[in-house]
Amino acid sequence: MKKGIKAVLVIAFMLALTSGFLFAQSASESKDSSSQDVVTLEVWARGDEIKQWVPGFEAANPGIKVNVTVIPDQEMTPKLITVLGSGKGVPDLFMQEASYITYLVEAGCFADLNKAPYHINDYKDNIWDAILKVGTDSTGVVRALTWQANPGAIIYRRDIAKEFLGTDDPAEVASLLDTDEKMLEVARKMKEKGVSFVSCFKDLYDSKVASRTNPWVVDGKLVIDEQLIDFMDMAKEIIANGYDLGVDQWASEWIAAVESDSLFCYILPPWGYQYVVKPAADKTIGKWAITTPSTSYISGGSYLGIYENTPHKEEAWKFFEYVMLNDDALYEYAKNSGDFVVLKSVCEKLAQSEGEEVLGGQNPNGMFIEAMNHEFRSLNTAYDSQLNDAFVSAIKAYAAGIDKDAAIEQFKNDVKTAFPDLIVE
Amino acid sequence: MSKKGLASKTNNWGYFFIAPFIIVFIVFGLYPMVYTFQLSFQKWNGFGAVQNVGFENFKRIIADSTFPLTVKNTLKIWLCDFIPQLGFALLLSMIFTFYRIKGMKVFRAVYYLPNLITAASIGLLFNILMNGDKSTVNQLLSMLGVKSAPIAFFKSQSMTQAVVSYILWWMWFGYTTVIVMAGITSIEPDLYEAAQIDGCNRWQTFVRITLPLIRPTIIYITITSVIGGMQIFDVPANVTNMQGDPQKAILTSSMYVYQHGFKNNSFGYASALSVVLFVIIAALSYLAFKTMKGKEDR
Repeated sequence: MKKGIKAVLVIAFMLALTSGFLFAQSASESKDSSSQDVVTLEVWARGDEIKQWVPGFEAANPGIKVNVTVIPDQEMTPKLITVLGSGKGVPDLFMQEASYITYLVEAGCFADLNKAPYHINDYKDNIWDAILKVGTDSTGVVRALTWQANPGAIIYRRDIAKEFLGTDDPAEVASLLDTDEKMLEVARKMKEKGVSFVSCFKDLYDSKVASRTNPWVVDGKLVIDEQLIDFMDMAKEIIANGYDLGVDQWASEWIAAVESDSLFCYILPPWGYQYVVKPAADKTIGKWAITTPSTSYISGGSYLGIYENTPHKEEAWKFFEYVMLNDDALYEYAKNSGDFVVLKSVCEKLAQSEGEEVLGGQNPNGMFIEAMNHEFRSLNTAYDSQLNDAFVSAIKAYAAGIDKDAAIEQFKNDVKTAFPDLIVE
Repeated sequence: MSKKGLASKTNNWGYFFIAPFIIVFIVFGLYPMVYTFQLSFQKWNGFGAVQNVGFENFKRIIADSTFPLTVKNTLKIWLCDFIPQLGFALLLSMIFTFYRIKGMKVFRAVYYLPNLITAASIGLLFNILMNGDKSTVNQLLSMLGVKSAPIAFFKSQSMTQAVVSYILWWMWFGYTTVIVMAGITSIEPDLYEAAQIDGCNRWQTFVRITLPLIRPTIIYITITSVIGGMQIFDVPANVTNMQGDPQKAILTSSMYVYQHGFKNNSFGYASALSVVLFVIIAALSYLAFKTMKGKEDR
C-alpha cells in the first residue's frame, strides 16, 4: 500500500513538472479555438518598423490581429530551422535581410506569391524589377518582397561639401566624386583638416559588392570579382590613413557622428537616411543633402515572405498586401520616415511632395527614381552574408599589414573551410 | 533478514527527490548531447534531407587549419585570465583571512558583483567603452595626457586578446576569492595555533598550512575554470564583431562552432567540432586533476 502511494506521488510529481509544457500547449490550442472569429497572425520581424502598419491594418481588418516578434538577423534562420523542423510554432510571415534572404528563398519555406490566394503578378508592373528579383528563387518564383527600394546614395554634409568641393549641389557633388581616385583625393584634403571623408570603409564596400559584375558563386564556383580585389587597396588607404571613423557600422560613435562636424558622408541607400541620419540629426537639421553615385546599385532591404504551410493564407496575404502593395499606407510610411519604397506609383507621388527638413528642403525621390530605372544584375546568392563577412575580415587583415595575396588566400581558405562543397581555385 | 524486509528498507524516496533534476537534465542536457553526437556523423543544412556521412566531418576537422587556431586562442585567453585570477584570489584571501580589514565583507561583495551581470552585456559594454578614437577610455586617456592616445585597442591582435582576458579576470576573480576563502575557513584553527606556537610567521603559515589544505578547493576551481574557459563565447563574441576580428585573434572554439552551426548552417560539422571540443576539455580536466591530485598523494 505504502509503495503504491509512493509510486503515485512520484508520478504525480513528474506530471506536475511536465504540466508546464502540457498547459502551454493546451493554452495555445484553446487560444485558437476560443477566438474563432479573430485570427492572430504571427510575424517574425528583424526590427520594430513593421509594427507601424499594424494599427492601420487591424482597424481595416477587424477579424485579424497581428503579433510581431522581433528577432535579430543572425538568429532568424536558426530559430526558423527549429520551428520548421517540428512544424509547430512556425510564424505565418517572416522577414530577413537581403544578404540572408536567398538562403530562405531557395529553401522553399516561403510560399509562391503568385499561387492563389496570393496574386503578386497583379502588381508586378508597379514593383521595381530589381527588388522583385532579390526575393525570386532560381526557378523564377517570387517568394519574398520588401516595402523598401534601396538605390545607392551618398548622404553628405552641405557645409563640408561647400568648404572642400566648392559646391553643395547634389549633381555637382556626384560628379566630383565619381571615381575612386577623386574620392581618395577629397578624403586626403579633408583628413588634413581633421574631417573624415566617409563614416566607415564598409559603406563603400557595400557599394562595391552591390555594383560588381559577378555574384559570389557561379556554377558552384567561388568568384572574387576584380572590383573587390581592387577595392582592397582603396580600403587599406582609407583605414590606414583614418579617412573613416575607424569604427564598425552601427557602433555608437558611427551614429553619433551625424551631429559632429568632422564627418563628410555616409554612403548608404535611403534606409541609411531613414535609420541613421534623420533620427540623429538635431543641430545638423538642414545641413544634410543626398546625391546618387554615378554607378547605380541596390543594397540591403528587409524582405518579408509568407510561410508555405500557414493555415491563415488569406489573412497573411491581406497583411502582406497592406504593408507592401497598398499605395496609401506606403505613401504615409514613406512621408513620415523619409524612406523610398517598392511601388513605382508611390515613388512618383513622393517625387512631387514636399522636401525633407533635415535635407534643407531637398526631395531626393526624383533622383532615386532615376537610379532605380537602371538595369541591375542579379547578384544574390545563398552565401552572401558569410562571404561578405569573411571578405571584410580579409580587407581588415590587409589594412593591418599582411600581404594582399596572403589576405586573399586566407579568405579562400575560410570559404573552403566553411563551404567544402564550393569549388575554390 | 528476509528478502522482503530488505526491500522495504530500500529507500525509494531518493528517486522522488532527484526527479526534478533528472527530468530537466534528460530533456535539456542528455538529449541534446546524444543528438549532437549523432549529428556529428551527418550532414544537414537545417532544411534539406539529413545525409549520413560517417567520419567525413571528423576528417574535415583534421584538414581545418582554423580550428587549431581557435583552440590556441581559447587556451591563451583562458590562461591569461586564470593565472592572475587564482593569484589574485589567493592574495586577497590571505589578506582577508590574516588581517582584520574594515569592511571586508563589503569588498568581497563588490568584487563578486561583475559576476552577476550577463557576459554578453559586459562584452558589449567594453566595446562601447573602448572601440573608436572617441570612446570613453580613449577620451579618458587623452585627458590624462597619455601620449599614445587614442589607442586603437581592437586593431591589435594581442591587445584585443588582452582585453578579453582582462574582462574575464575582472568578472571571475571575485567568485574565485569567495571559493578560496570558503576553503580556508574549513581549515581547523588548531593547526594555525600550533603553527603559531612553533614560531611560524604568516607567510610560512600560508605556504605550509593553508595552501596544502585548500588543494581540493584549488583543484575544483581549476577544473571548473578549464570547463568554462574552453567554452568562452559571450565576451569575445560581443567585444568585437562576432567574427573574432582582428584577424581571428579572439575567435574562440565555441564561437567557431557557432559560426559553422548557425551562420553557415552546417550543423553536422558544428556537431563534430563540439564533440572534439568535448574530448579536449575532458582531457584537459583529467590532466589538471591528475597533476594536482598526484602532488597531493606524494
